[in-house]
Amino acid sequence: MFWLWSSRRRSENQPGATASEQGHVGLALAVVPPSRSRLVVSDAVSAEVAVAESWFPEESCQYETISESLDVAVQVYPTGWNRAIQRGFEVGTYSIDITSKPPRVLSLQVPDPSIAVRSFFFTETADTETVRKQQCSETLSGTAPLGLDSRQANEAGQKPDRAVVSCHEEELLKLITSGRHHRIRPPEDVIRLEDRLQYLLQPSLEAILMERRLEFPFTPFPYQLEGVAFLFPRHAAILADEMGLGKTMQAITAIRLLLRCGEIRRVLLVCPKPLVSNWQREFELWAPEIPVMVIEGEPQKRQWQWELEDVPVRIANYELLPRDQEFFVATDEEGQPKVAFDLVVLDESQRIKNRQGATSQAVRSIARKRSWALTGTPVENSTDDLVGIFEFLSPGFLSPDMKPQKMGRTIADYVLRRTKDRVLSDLPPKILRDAEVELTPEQRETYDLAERDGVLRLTELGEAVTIQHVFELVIRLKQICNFDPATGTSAKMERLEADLEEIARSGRKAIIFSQWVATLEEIGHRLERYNPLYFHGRTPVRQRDDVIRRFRENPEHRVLLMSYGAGSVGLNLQFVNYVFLFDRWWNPAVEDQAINRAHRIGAAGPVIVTRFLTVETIEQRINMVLEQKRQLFETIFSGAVEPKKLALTQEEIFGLFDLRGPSNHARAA
Amino acid sequence: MSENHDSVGNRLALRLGFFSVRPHTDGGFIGGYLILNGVGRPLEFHCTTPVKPTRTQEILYGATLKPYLFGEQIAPALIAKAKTAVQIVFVSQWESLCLASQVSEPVALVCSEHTMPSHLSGTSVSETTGSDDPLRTATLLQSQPCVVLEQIGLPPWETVQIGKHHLAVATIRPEASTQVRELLSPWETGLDLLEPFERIEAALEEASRRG
Repeated sequence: MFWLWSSRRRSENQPGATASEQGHVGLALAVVPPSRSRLVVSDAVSAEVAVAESWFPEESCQYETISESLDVAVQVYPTGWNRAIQRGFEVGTYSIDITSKPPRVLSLQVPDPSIAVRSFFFTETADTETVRKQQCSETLSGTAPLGLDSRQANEAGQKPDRAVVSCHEEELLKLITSGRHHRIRPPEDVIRLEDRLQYLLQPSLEAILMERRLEFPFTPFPYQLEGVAFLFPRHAAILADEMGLGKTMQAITAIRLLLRCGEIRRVLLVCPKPLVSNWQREFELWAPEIPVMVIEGEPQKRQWQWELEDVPVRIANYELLPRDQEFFVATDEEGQPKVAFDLVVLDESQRIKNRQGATSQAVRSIARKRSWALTGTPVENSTDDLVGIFEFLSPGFLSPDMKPQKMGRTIADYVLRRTKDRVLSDLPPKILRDAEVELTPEQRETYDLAERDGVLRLTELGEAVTIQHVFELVIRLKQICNFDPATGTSAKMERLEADLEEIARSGRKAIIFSQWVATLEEIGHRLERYNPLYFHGRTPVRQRDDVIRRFRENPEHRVLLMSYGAGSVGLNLQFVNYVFLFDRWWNPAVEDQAINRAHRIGAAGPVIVTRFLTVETIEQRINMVLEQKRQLFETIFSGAVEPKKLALTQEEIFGLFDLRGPSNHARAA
Repeated sequence: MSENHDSVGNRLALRLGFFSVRPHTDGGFIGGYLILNGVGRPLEFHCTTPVKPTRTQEILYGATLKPYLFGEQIAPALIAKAKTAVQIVFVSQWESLCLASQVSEPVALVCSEHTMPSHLSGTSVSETTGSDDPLRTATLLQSQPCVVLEQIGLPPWETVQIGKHHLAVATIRPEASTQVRELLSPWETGLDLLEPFERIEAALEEASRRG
């Protein structure tokens, strides 16, 4: 604090001197502590300065004094009056209080924030203990924290004991370290935060797979791991991937992981009978360590198989279930079911779309904790199909009167549907060609006659006409579109033969689909030069695998003739580049399945699909109806605009011939 | 054989803590602390309710607000609730390195392109350090902008490389970086120390969503 001093002083050393002679005015700059905040006007200047100095004992205060002479000339008059001047100045002392009021102090409290903490504790599960024991027993070591590394073990010279720790593990490692890993996310029906965190805080799926050292014959595609992560936590789920994306592999891997984690112990897989051997092969390929039992044989044996303990995976076919229902609905003395499963998986689950059907009822009566459905076509005809599947997954969850868009939103968390276009950028393209052909003159004549007569008969029936009468006419006309019954001419056949010549020359193979065995046989007669093989409902089941093997391995067999019913599901024919739909099925989903036998993972090149369509015939009219069904599917599974018609009504069936049906509105297809 | 048993046993015996903070939608921050065993399985998870600094705190703490909140308030509150003692605490934000003055375990920042001091936010890593490489980032930050870090009250630190990761280990206790090396070096190949922070992020998001 600086103070400006101003003083006037009389020198005591020269008492005789006059003020005018010796008076000085001094200016001094002094530093004083704040406590001495009084300005003292006094002649005791030196005392005040001394106080200031003592406040800085370590440092000597430097004062600069600027003096200025204030000599004032005084005239002394003879009167002597001015002798009074010789008297000293009378000095008075007075004080001025310059202190201001003490400032008001406002104190702000800055407390530490109060922090509430929520805690969740997870027991070190038996799962981890199992891993510890398993890894100890397998003498595997060197895997990294967070379960990621085995490569390091190799680098350290500690070779894993299994021969097949292949590049797939490195592929998984790459996925993990690249950050493109997949997480097991909790389904929406898991409510408690603790339960949801239990899923969210687990390592990535890739890390879990590596931790358990699950080997794969092929590196799974990322979307397949996404499918496994989808299935793993769900008690009710539909994996509705497009045909050919590997639903089988995804289901087996999810089952394998759940078994390894101890989440499930007993699994039942239900599939169409022709696919039982296919599932056996797939389990052997993707989960060779899991024992699989096929339920078959005499009733007594089957009952024993149903009740047998300690079989992780059982495979049964749909046809068997109504017959064996008494075995798996039986209860013990306490009313508990003798046969119960932790997981029931339905392959081609559209088989239970009819809720009143015996198969559907038998499937629903199986005691189970988890229910999964696998299908590429969850909706074949109408939303009722989906309601039927959900009666198995979660009874009452859907109602038939729900609008498609609402149904799509409701089931969103339960259904995973991917298409090849979305997930397989490297899959060869599928080229669809609608081959519109004109009937031969002979066919046209026969066709027109048959349609005229048929419509006339239907009209004559009046109110007695039924949907069966209409179907009979449709079938009759479609057969004429294939071959003229009188002359055997066929516009489709001419076109097919022309195409096949080129295909055979290039060394490629083709599959030809028809809904009638008779048509297939007629085609076969005309294609003898290509050594055609047959795969249809009359082909004995035990010969079917051999037919496929011969077609795949023997270059002499250029053509496979298949019926939609026998060849639409569960077969892998990705070495085929050409597919012909000689006639059209009622249901586009079945057609898609047929096409996807060839267009799937591993396809050798582009798959060219030729759909024959005779112009100005019943085929063209049916095609319009099929397109409407495609729109229905899109509405539910991709949120597209709601189609005008949700199903093929009786009126529309009659409308194929410009007829009016009976007054009731029962749905027909 | 016994060596293998020991190896597996050591791996499972590891206890690693991961601490991260994320902004909350209603303002403030929410912190999460995840404890994993050696194979990445969760043992404990603790999270805070949103911690919102007052305007006074924002003004008075200035650039030191986040180090104060993250490292001195949120993290210690979470760790105090844990029942499992960990060998290392990994953090995902520079500001959390202050935690080293609060706990006895080594505290290590897992460097990534996102682990920049908040007051440098808006400046990309490459602009600040001339590199997107975490090692280079860490090295350059150690040599030059360290002055800036000291100004916001962060402790001294040392760069340690474990596998593909570059860790900034707080060296309030000089032996910390050696401890980290010794604990993690046997498992360094393929080790993903950033992945657990994704889990914390997902869990915090879920906790925020579900209230």
